[in-house]
Amino acid sequence: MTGTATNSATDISSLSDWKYKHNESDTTSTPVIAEEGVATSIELEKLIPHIATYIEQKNYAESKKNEAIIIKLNMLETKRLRNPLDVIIEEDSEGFIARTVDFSLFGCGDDRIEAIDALKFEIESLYFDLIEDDNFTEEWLSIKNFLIELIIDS
Amino acid sequence: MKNAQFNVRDVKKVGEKKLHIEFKSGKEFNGWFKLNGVKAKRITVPKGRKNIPRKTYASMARQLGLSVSDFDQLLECPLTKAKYEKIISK
Repeated sequence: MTGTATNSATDISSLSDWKYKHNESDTTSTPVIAEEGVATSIELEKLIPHIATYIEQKNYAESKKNEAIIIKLNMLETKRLRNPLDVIIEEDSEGFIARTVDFSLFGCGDDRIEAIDALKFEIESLYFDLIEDDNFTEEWLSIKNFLIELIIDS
Repeated sequence: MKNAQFNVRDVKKVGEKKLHIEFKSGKEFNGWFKLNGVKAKRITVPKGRKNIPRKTYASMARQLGLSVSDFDQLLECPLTKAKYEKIISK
């Protein structure tokens, strides 16, 4: 038993010596198991930075997907704006919600474009409501003045 | 937030029955709540969405000048029109 163990140890050390002497260049004569082991670890080492970059990019894309974005609205459905209006767009369950920063108005949709379009319609709808008469609270009258100055009524 | 318990029909119904809001039908339903005869709050109720997503629910509450928990109560019933008027008059 002892002899066998010694022989195995000698075999391993001689394989290492052999690899060292041949500098691992002669692949045709390298034992198959040893060659496969070396090739896999080298490949993995090369892949690690790529995998790390991929994971980083994927995480970044995921975080961006859920992040609220602010856009400048320059046009409504049928009217143009004198100054851009800030709009926040956020994911909302399976859809999206677009809302104005300056007053409490929102539009929903299955995607961002649909939500923005709905909000554009809502702003015009509010504008038409407000220009009907002056029976509003002070808060709404100031929003009315804001919209009258903002919207190009052509 | 009890958005999962209510759908857009519930919100519209409560708005009409409890707050006497008259909704206009466009792309969405819009209606004004009148406080002492003056248009004070305007709510948008989205069409074609059975369940109300969290942010939409919170936006509707904000439009009515309510916190989300007060909006829950408005829909659940404990919050009456008189109590609502008291909240928005503050």
